[in-house]
Amino acid sequence: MNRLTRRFFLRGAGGIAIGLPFLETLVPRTARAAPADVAKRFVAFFECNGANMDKFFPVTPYGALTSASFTGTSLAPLAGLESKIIVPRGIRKVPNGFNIGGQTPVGCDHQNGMGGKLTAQQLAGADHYANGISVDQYMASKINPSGRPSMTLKVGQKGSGVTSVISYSAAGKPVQGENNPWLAFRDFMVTAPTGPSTAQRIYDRQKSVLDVVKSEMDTLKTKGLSAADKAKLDLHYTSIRELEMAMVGMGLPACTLPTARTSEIQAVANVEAEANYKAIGQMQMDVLAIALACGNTRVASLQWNNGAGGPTFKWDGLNHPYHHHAISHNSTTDGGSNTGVGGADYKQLLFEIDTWYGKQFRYLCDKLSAYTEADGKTVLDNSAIVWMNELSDGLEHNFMDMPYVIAGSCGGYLKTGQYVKLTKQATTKQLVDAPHNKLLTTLINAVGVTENGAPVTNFGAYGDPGEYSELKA
Amino acid sequence: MPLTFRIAWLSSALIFVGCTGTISGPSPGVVDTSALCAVPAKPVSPGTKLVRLTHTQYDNTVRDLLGVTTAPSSAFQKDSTFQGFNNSAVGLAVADRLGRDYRRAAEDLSSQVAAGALSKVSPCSAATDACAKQFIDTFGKRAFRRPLTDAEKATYFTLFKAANTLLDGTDPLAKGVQLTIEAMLQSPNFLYRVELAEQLPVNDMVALNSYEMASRLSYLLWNSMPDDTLFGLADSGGLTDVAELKAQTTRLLADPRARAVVDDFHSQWLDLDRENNLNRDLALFPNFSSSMAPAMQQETLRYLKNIIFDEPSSFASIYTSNYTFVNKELAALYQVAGTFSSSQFSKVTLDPAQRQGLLTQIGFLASHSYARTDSPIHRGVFVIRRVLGLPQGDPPAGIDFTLPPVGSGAIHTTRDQVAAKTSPAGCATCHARINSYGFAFGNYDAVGQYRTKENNFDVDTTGSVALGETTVAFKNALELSTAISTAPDARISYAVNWLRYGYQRADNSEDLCDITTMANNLGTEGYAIKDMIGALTSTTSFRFRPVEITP
Repeated sequence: MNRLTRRFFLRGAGGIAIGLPFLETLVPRTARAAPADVAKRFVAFFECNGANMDKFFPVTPYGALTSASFTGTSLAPLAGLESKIIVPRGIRKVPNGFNIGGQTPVGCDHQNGMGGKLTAQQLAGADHYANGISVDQYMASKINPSGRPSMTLKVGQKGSGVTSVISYSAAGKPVQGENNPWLAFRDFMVTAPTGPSTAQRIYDRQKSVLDVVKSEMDTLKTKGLSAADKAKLDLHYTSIRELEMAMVGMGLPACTLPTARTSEIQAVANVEAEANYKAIGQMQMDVLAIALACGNTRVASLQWNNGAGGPTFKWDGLNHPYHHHAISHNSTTDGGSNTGVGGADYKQLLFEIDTWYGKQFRYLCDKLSAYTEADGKTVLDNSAIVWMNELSDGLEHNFMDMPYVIAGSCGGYLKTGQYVKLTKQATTKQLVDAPHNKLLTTLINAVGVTENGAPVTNFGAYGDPGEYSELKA
Repeated sequence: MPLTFRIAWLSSALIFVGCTGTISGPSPGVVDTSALCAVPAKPVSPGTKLVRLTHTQYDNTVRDLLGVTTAPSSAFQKDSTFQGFNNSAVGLAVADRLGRDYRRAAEDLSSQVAAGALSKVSPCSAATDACAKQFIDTFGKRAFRRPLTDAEKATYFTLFKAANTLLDGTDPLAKGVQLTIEAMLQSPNFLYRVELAEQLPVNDMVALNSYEMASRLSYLLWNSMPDDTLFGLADSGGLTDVAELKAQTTRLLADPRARAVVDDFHSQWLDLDRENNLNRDLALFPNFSSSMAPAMQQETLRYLKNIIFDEPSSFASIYTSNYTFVNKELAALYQVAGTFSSSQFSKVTLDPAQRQGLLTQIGFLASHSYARTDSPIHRGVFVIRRVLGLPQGDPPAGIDFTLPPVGSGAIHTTRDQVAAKTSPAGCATCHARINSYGFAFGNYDAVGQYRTKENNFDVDTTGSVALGETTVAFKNALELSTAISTAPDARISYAVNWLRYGYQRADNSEDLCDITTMANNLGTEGYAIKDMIGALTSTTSFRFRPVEITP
């Protein structure tokens, strides 16, 4: 194989082209599944608690997005990016939930919204975790270097139950996101002053430790362990072997941020403080962008807070009296509903929140647009960044007419620049067709996943097989 | 095991209601264990031979092993909860980011130790092969909680020597120590409690070996590694002796480390995390602040530790004592006269006409309320599910939770609102029971302050509930608490939850004899709760594992 075909160049903000990873010769051959062309990526950008449905969607008719499409909506921050955006309309979450359509789900709607959005699965068991793998982890197992898991990032408080997690490695196996950008970055970053010899020494030391750990696992496996326990050790080994790959993987020298930014990320003391919500979010997006650009991961999820969670928005000109979940219920508290938010118009507050998330989505798009790849396209062009929400109308706990915004064509697979109605029904608030699992299937094929060499035909346990041809270029 | 038995066990209520003909006891409230215990129980496996340390156990273990008290797990990927507890043996794995978290901690901790006084971890200080081997033997045994095999000793000696070139620095001993610790802290033999127990089975049961018993004991009662005494007993095989096991159980329970375990259990059983960040209307409740969460949690934990350790008293006293522990902020809410500080907790007696036991504490009452009003439904469900351990389903999805407003018709109080809202037949199926429990707490507002009137109307706190075989009528939460204090379901719930937490697994029909025995003991006047916790170390399940067929 010609090494040059695997070489890809990154052009960061400074415009410096960076070449082949210096330690690539150390990577085991099996890990070097060579990309035939530039990698396709997927990111789930996840908002909770539903949206202001009156002001979320384009104001222009279905068809091509124009410079007027986002005016006055929560998508206004995406102005100028219209040609790279798809707004699909009329999608319903499956299974339905909301006690509608004869599928009364296990768990409450918030649990179903968090557990089902990336899985298209029912919840199960006493703990109400999703009953199957999530789309990000599924993609990662297929296309990430050496099968490395999806990069699961989070902004806000860590949690431990179903409403605090969207990613699943398997049925009943939630993957809690990392809410500390420094810990996320430290795994794969290479700081500027660190030369090859230093990295080589770190690699050699970690390898010597890993070899010992591996030999002990192998010994344990000969001691009458059950199949489940052997699998547990394999899972464990995969979890640490990833480090080895991360240390020496493709694009290693490029996995870095400006020194000043790295210092800022390292310096944050309290990643859960609400006052740091925006700063942490943007740090996570910086880390995410470089991780996608330098080939550390091709799949990621960025989860903003928890289902039925906060924060209370008190920055960027907002001074909200109550936290996001309470406001979504037009209430002052988590348990109330439609009791008012102290005189304010809760829909206006929700619009402000959605718009704020729109700005963050724009921030991520701009970061990804700053990297030009070997094919001349940007990382954004080669990705599908999908802004999605736990619910549609939060007050109703509704799963119909789900808000989705896709940025990037995923290397030309998707037809961007359009506002497209996917349901055949007259109203977009419907329970007949357009299940969200078809969108997941479309995205899976967009990033190039195959099963036995063929396109994937159906993802999840609910909904319909096939892709949305309307979304494809 | 027969499936029907499992199903019956899922609802402890069935023991008293559905199955009264077969299991009901000779005297009210005490379960007849003669049938349940007639056949010796089979040991129940935690479902794995590799029980990963919980994050709490990791922190405690590196504290006891390395003398480091920085709680490294605060930066670890958070574990998911299963069955209400975060220590499920089969649920705990090293997946996703956690391997990286462990590596980072191992690198940080080992370099920290190597930069400090090596005498804390090494018995010798010479830069010789003999010292290297001595260090590996002694430290390795403590890290792996058993002696190293010859092969392991050789592996680590090789690694120790390699450190001289792999690490920077000038001191070969420090470098060897550092790299050895870095590797051992990532070893499966450290990160898991490994229970291979290779003794020959007797009656399809395999006795755990002495080192495995030492770890089971110390991790159950201390959430940490064995101490020198336990290691000594393990060396001599002493822990396979039942009398010695009991003696050690008593010793461990007397140690401060056991108090932290009791706190960890109660925090999770009672869901004390729910008290964090409570959003209350401060115009209505000027004495409250969301920053009081640690104080509310501290109050409950100290109260329970007092009952278990400091002034040992019966299980019933959890729900009947009329004292508690308050700081300045809590004293204001309880309206207790006296001088208090924010940082100090004092034991105070509460008005017995207003307060009685755990269920009238501020923390529970405030965390099961809304911003302005109390929530009888949340309070009732908590009592049913957590306190009594009875099954209670979730509400159907798509419900409009809006209560009819106060002032419409004859609706004057929160009770009136909830009663009107849940009166349709479809709601009442569950809410007849939920509301009965919840309405009992009408004397406590959204931050747990005592009241007799709400919106200038008298609150009605009367009701009746079916507790086990009897229907109990009560005037208020005090009388309800008294009834709960002697209710078999409350004792069984407490025992089952301790068993789940202590054995890191779900309960099983093979546990019925153990659980009912524990629960019955709790019902005996003068029986110390500490003894019930200790009884967890003498069961068949604790001392043996079943023979398993390895595929």
